Amino acid sequence: MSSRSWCVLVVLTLGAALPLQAQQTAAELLRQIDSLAPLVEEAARAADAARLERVEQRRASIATRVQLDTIAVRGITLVTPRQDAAAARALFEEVWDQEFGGLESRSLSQRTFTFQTSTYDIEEIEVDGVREQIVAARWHSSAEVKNRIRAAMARAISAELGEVGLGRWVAGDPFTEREPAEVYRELVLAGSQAVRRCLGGAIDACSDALGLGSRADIVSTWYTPVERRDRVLAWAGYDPVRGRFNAPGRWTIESRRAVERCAGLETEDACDGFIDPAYTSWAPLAPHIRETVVARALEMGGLTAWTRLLQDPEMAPGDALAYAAGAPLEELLEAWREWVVAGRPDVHAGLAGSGALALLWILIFAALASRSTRWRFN
Amino acid sequence: MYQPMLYLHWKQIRVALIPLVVASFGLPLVAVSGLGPAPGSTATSLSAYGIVELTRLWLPVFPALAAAIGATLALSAWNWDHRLGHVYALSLPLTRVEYALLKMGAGMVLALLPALAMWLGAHAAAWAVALPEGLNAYPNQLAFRFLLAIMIAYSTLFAMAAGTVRTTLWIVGLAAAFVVGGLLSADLVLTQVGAFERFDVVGSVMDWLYRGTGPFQVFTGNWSLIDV
Repeated sequence: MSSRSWCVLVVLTLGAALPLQAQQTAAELLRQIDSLAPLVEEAARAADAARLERVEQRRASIATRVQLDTIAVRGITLVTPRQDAAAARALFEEVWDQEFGGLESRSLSQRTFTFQTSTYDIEEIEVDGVREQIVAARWHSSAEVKNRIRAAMARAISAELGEVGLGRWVAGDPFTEREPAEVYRELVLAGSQAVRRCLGGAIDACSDALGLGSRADIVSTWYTPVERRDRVLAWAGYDPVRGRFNAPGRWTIESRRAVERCAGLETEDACDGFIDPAYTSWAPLAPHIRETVVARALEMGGLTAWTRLLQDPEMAPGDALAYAAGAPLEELLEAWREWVVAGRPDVHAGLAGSGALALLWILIFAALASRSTRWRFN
Repeated sequence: MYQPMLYLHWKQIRVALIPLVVASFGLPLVAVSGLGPAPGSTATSLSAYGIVELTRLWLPVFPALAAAIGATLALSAWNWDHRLGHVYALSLPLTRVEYALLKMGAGMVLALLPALAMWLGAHAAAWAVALPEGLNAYPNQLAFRFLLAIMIAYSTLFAMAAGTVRTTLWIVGLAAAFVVGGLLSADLVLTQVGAFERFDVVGSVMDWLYRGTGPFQVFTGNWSLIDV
């Protein structure tokens, strides 16, 4: 065998051995990881047991020092130290009557709340199955305490959305009012042709932008080809100017080429393969914007709107919203758009006031400057 | 008497002021550089979000520049007086109040130069970028806020520099002692009395100075050249 043939043989042998070694290493790693699993489970079990023991100790400690009362307030079950019971009842009743009066909520009546005015005298109360704890401190204003109670109630009521089809469209808390100025800002900055058209007054575009429509070509109504490209590149972490990925290791050669084709907009639909409209992260408007639509529907529909909203678990989101609002979807979306546009922030609001205030301070500083000790004889 | 005051101040500060005027003109242009093509161009522009986010990076520089200009104007205003023992001022047929007000007025007029440069620069910057639908440029508001900030910084330091060095050191020392002492005592009180968790005197005073009706409120407003 010639020296050249020996070289070829050595190279081939090495080439074959390297992937084998890599495979062995990966298999070895997997074995090692698997061997750790029982240890991790054991540690998790021990941590759970320790936590439960701490909870039990805390409960026992509280029980020896504090008498807990369980009271019913407007159908809500409330666990509270005896000395806080009267205040808790008054606060919960006031918040309920002012914010949710007349609203029928199944989950609210099934849920238990805890309320205490301090954690200095006693530790935090823990009751099985309680997810809503309200701890007020002595220095909290009553408005702040009421706001905490309102937020806890809103969370509890909103959880019912998860039990119906509408929960796949919106999962947050529609009872917490959002600033229309912030919503307007988000809409302007959304980078979506559908949102721009919506702000311009096209209600069908509002429906598309909010993901209420059922069009097959929804992605092309959401974004122009350039907007689709921008979103895909941002998602992929690809810098088209440098032609580099932020984390190239995340991508296969094939998917890198697909992103590069998208960056070059080789065809109008070059980026469409990446965008799955089923995921809300690809939608032009974030889920919390959808909550503001639900809030408008509840506002239009009155006290029974919440019950109607959840009445048919299989109802499509648009139909459920219209049913809750007691008006056609177009009317609801028009009311929502008007609410958003009316909230357009006055970016430099208060500038005239700042000017007047600045002038006042300039006069004060001028007066101070003219009173120097340097020329005391004047 | 006003013109000689203005001339004197200008002569004293021109070397330092001219670069600051140039910076005031250039800052809005730098803030929008790379944000997209000029109107009429067919090239792709950045998204509204990209434009607002990128210009936001430059926002702290605007009030900082205004403060620097105000400080430069104020410290140069009294420089000659302190160096020459107030001989020139005492030789003039003016009362202390008249002299201080004339001097302050001269500085205020000089403050118009960087503000004017900012106004021109902001307009040029607004013209240079094709803004997406929904975004607006606010060059007038930005320039006005810039002028107010310069004047506030100028008048604050002018009043401090008008006194003796000892008085100035007293004021600065008291302010520093208040901040340090306030923070330390707040910690001390908190460890002793838990209910005082929210008892933050220093924070409240700072809030009043920068956000309430205090003198520096103009520095913490919205400095956006481009916004919704």
